[in-house]
Amino acid sequence: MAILRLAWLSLINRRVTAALTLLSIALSVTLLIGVERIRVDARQSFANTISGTDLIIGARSGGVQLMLYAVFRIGNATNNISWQSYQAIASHPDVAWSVPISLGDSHQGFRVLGTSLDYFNHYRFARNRSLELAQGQTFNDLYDAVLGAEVAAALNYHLGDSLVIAHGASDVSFTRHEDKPFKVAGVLKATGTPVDRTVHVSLSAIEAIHIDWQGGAPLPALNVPADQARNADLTPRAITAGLLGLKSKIATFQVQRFVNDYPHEPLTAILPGVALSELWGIIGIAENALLVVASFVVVVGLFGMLSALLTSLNERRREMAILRSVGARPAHIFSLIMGEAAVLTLAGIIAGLGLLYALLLVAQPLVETRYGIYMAIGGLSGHEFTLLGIVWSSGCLVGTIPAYRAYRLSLSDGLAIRT
Amino acid sequence: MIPRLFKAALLLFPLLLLAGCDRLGSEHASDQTTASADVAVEPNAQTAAPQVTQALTAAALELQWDDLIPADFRLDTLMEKYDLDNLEDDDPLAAQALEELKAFWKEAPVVYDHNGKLIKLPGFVVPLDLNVDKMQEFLLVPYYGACIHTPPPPANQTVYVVTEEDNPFEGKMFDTVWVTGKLIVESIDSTYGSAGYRIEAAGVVPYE
Repeated sequence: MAILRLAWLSLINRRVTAALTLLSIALSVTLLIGVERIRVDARQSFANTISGTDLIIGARSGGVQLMLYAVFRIGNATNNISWQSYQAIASHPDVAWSVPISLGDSHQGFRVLGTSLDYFNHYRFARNRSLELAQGQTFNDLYDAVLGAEVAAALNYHLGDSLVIAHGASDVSFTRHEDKPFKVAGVLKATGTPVDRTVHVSLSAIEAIHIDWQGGAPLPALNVPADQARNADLTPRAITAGLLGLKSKIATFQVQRFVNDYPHEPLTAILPGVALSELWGIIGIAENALLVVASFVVVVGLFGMLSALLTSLNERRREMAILRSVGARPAHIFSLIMGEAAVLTLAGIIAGLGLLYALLLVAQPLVETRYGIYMAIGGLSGHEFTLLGIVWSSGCLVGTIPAYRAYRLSLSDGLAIRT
Repeated sequence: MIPRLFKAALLLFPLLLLAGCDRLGSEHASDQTTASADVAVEPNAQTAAPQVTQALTAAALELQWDDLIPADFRLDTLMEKYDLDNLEDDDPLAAQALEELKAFWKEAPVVYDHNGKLIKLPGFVVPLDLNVDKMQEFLLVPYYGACIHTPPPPANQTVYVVTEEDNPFEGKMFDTVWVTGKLIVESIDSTYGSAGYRIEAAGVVPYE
């Protein structure tokens, strides 16, 4: 294939421009597919977090906010629900099961969640999978804690280790519940959800560590030792949110109405699917804006290739003339330039994907620990193939412009170059 | 001078390229930016499902939401029974009619006539689980915004739709759709009615 060899050598001769063109296309492709990846993975990650819960109840607030703090541990609760209200709702005849959730404390940056044993029975994620213990058991004793997989891995905790819970949600805390240390009773299997980054304790434990607290600070004179706290009344006074499972999904709206109209306390009940749809509705605008920007970057990359090819044409008139002299027709000249554009775009796409996967490999663990979004390093989806197909065909289309010009030039020039 | 084989190869190359470009290019490349943005926004609901559904739709019985309410509880029957048009507001019969209507609304009785039949029903989608782009289950309701602003539709005006596992509904919340599938009346344990409707959907297509 002498002609391909010639084309290749010609390209090598212009290697700096060619490499720069390739790099700009590669970077734009990385950006485009990266934006698409993050969009899809974030959605998948959120979708897999909770399943089988029909309603989430909490203090009166926005649906999106309630879902974000109750399920995804993003942001903070607006207010608590009184234990009486929660129990009244949990005992509604249409409610099959309920799981209380109490938030507000943390351990080394990981949220502490107070709940009941029902949590381990009824919490479902990723299309109806239930939580499983990797080691140990759920809490038996008042000061038992069950760790999410990532908490145990990151802090290197084993069964029987003791840990102290800090008051508030910050990584650094100056107020710790040091007098009442917890013991690791169990470690959950990894789920790929915020559960992995949560320390679970019982609701009574949450009550016990705050027993000597008055008006937002521990009262020095009132210090209740850990063992003495066991004998106190540890019925929770308030919880942050609750997950409800209904006997029939048909009654979802009615129970939601019952909670929203609850006369003794302003409460909100949300359908998780509706709240998440609302969230995606808001984020969708930003996602589209990002995708449009990424598309424009690809266009800019392709225009870079166009200008590089057009500029090279003038210097390559001699080359074309030589090719013509050895029998190449104007159509061959056309296909040569066009082929160069196609090959450059294709190489750019491949290099871009290589860069993206390299970035994914580096960023995956970081993104997972920091944002809880699991980025799958899998093959290309159909949609991504479509996007890449559009990029490549646009590259071909852009290639026709210099190709046509070269064709015209080679027709007029023939073997001699008139300058 | 160039051997024939190379010539042929050389001629084929642009042809192949052009063929590739024509197929992909003419559809999308006219305006690359908008094209790629559009692809991302459009939910690709039109997959393999429509063909299956078209065949079924022909055989399916088309229902209206009123068909899901027993005839003697419908508003028009009630209107005839009490001759509501000619009643004064303070007529005790009017109050009685209102009470009957309220009672019906609370009991939400269902129609058993269509149990087990292949039916087709239009409505709005309210997603249930978090997989909001590929729903395997959702509630179908006759009016938009049913979940937040107004009192919710009664149990006999809420249909629980389950799609086939490998054929989820790819759409958004509050999409208007035609649901085709087998209607099942099942007894439910609820204070808001003793029975409810479920559709085992063979197909969910956009409402047109």
